[in-house]
Amino acid sequence: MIKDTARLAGIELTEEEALEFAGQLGSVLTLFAGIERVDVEGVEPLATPVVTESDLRRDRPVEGVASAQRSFIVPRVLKEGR
Amino acid sequence: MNLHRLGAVEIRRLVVAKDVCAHDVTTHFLDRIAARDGDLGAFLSVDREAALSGARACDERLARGEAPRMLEGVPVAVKDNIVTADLPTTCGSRQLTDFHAGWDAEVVRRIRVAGGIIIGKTNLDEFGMGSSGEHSAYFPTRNPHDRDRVPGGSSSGSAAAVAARLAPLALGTDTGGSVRQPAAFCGIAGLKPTWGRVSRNGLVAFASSFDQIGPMARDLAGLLLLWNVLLGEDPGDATSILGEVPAQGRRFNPGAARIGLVPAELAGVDAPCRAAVLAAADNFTNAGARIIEIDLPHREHALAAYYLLANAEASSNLARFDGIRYGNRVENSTAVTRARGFGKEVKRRILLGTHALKAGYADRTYHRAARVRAKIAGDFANAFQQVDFLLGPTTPGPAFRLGEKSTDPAAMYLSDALTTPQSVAGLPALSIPGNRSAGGLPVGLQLTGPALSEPALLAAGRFLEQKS
Repeated sequence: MIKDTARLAGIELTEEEALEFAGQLGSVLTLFAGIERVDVEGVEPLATPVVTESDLRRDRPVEGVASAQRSFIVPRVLKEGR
Repeated sequence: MNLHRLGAVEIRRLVVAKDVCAHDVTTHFLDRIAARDGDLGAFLSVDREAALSGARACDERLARGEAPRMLEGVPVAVKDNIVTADLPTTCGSRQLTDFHAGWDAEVVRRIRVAGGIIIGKTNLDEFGMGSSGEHSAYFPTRNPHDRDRVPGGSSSGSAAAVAARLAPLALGTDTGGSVRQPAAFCGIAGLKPTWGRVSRNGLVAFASSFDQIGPMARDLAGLLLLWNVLLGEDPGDATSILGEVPAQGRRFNPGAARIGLVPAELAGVDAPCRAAVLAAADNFTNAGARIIEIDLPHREHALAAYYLLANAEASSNLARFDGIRYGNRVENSTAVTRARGFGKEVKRRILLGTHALKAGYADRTYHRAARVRAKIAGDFANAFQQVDFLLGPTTPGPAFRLGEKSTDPAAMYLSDALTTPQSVAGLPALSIPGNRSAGGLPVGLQLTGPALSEPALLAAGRFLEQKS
């Protein structure tokens, strides 16, 4: 199972790591098993803890970056020689 | 002059009064870092020239008679998962050994606009994942009070730097306790703000619905100073809370205060932590406050909800470190790139988070945890019908020894049991130094309030500081 999870996570594991992580994740999931006892019937999941109004903000068009020769002109971010 | 002995407010006052120049202040702290950080391991990078040029600019402004700013000439250390235009941003990871973001995070921009000097980038558990400072890919940070002990994590370098007086102020980040726990272990003050109160724009994301940037300082006056620079709406962060900022730095009236204690929390901690909390409770009651016992029935499940949800978010957020979008690349394989670039703790957490999101498991893990999260938030909402804030220990015990828990993730995670409930509910929480253990180790007191109650928490913290 750990190898399948690692494949989904996009991380190559050595045999040694697979054994080590499988044991550790097993202990951690056992430690967390208590949440299966909580009565969550009818409880809505909480995705973000504080309600923000972000999804209600209006789009405000601002001036775009300058362009020249079909390219955008952006501030220099690389130093010389990098 | 022993400038490092002074708090941030006093340093600013001297700079503004031109009793000392910002250049000398910055030089003093840079020299201390050079002399003392070798065996402490608090800093990952320092750019002496950039810091001194910032300080000179402060002095020139003041010489021209321009109005003094809120952090004029005060050095601030920045956790290395917050991007900076001049210094590299490694996140304590091999993935980003030579990563230069090229721009300043909103919090860094605000500090510079306020006249603060970015003195260096501080060490951390890789990507903010850890509770001991031992999971940095570069070197562990040590506790300034006892070099054989951990400083806590993940804001290990920021806490150690402030405690060792290598910087008067620092920025940490708190996902499940990463400002509060190291503040407690190092004997300083740290604030985790309400989720959305401080911009996350420019913070390398670990768990987006938990992450918050918070100030760290040796005293409450310094904490309040930095807090007032950081807080507030930012259009660059879609989750930033809009609207008016309530008045900061209000007075605390102990005679009218109702303070909650959670008996189950006190029962589960070491004697010095329990004693520190009870002593603080006595200080409140002696001044006329009422102490009320509070039950948070789902508190014990916060650790599980936190680790399942936060790591599920981490497994998604850290997908970008694939050697193509970000990260040091191993040719032809993203899986090998990630295997070589990430440390063990980060791999463990990505695996746990991936497991929590897997088809066939997600209902029992991720989705259930999101519902438990709602129950925990509900417990706090009920509590704040009865009390103004909760008082408790920040950690189950004082700083543990280096290596003591590093091979047992379950034991390490349990050390976050008292800081994860607030993170799950998005609430503000302040850690301040309480009475020390018999062995002289710092112990943290935690004050938790309802959303946006930071001014009241800071005022109550200041009351306790004056009593200690």
